[in-house]
Amino acid sequence: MANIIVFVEVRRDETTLASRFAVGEARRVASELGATVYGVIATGPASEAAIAMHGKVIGEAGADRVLCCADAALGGPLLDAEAGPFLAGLCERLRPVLTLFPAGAVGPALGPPLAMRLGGLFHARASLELVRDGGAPRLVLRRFRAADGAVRTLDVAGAHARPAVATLPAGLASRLRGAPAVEVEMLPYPAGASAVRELSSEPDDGEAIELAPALLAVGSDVKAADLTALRAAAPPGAVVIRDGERPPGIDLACPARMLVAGKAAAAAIVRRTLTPGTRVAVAGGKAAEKDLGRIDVIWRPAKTGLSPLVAALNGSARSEVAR
Amino acid sequence: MRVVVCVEPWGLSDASRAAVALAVRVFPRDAITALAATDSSATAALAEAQELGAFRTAQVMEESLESLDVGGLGKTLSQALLSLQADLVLCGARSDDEGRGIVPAAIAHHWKAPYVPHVEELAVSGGEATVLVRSNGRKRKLAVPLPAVLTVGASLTVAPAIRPDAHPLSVEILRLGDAAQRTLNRSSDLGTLEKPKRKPVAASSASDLLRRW
Repeated sequence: MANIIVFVEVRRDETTLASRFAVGEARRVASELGATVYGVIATGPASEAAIAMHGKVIGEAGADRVLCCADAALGGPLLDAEAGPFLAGLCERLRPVLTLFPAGAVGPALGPPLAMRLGGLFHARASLELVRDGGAPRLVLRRFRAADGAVRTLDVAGAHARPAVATLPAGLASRLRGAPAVEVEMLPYPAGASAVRELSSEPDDGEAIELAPALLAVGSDVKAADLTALRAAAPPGAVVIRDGERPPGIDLACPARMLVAGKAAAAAIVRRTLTPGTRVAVAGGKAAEKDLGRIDVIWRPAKTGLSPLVAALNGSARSEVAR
Repeated sequence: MRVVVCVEPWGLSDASRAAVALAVRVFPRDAITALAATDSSATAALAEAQELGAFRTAQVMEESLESLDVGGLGKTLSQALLSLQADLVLCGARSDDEGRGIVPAAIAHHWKAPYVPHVEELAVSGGEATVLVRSNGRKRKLAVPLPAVLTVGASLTVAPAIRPDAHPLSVEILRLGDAAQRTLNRSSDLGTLEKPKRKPVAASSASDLLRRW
């Protein structure tokens, strides 16, 4: 039976929403493929109660089994020097066809080195899809090519497939897909000191964008008043970015939903956060659609500008968007 | 101190420009080499790197590079780094071509050096690089032993130091041995290519847009 590993990130003693979304995505495809989903937690020292709570949450998100390595070496930055040997050892044991990382800094930090250690393939900002062409469903990874927005498709677990490693977008909370893990298997941290030392740290002011499940990309033509109103009306977790801004965390962002508003095309730095599975909405003119790859829904505002959108966000739609 | 900035041979990405700009801000210009690897000329890309501040430019030119997968490319570049006696490598976090962001990790893997992506600040002293990264919800200042491979994101705002007085470009061509050992794996690791399917739905109102989003 094929195994799928999902790396679960813990921040401030809680598993991240992006990690739970990634586990849910793995569950979605694993159930049809007959695969087993392993939620793997690598974190600093934690109490038994905290680890049991992580197991409950990750089990409910969809993991069949939950594994945990809690060690002081994993309490700082999540870099290959710290977590790489542990993950590679685990992959040697479980032989996963696919290893998933949630959205955020952890994917670019751990995914490419792991793919190299495994002799595997790496797809960043990927979406998981099941393809049915008459026979049994096949799992494919899709991602956008940065150059032109064309879609790259990679078969996972084919006859000659190499193990795949991918990062996923930051999704919204999904309905519970599994049951609380009965047991969390504790794993030892491999011997050997990391070569990287942490000198100091402070809260990350880019975390909201890094893990944003939704981005509202606003053209530079949008009036300041509309921008202020959009920011005030944005759903919880959503971040508004105006064209030309380069806020901290944007290089790492990968939202499951993107709304582009205004007449101008979204900046390349924003467009490149998308995955083929990202739900994309456009509230604007033709120019706003440029280079978005795939658009799901379009609304052409009249000359009244974006005030109807602000009103809709403020109104009954707000609770639905936040769901 | 020898700093090598690995750049895309077909043209610098925004992230690679930021990597060159960061190197120029931190190191003396004569410490910085721009390196590319391809089966044909990388002159235009290396010329831009030089305009941005690289002192020296070097290229691995081998026919086999046309078909190498990322592991082979990483191995080739790591051997070039040995030839250049590099202490520190900077790369753009992701290219403007495929945009996977795996080549720097492939270099680090074969060079057997620590890999730290998306650094935002950099200083070097006493055989260590001090970098600022965002990881696990915190901005962290880290000491990374050299040699190391660091990447820089496209959004890092570093004032470019255009050098109109740059010398005419002279690209040093690196000849590496054992090319055959680096061409064993020629299978594509990119996947197949499709045009994106665009079938957008027209929303009747802003509320409808949000409902369907």
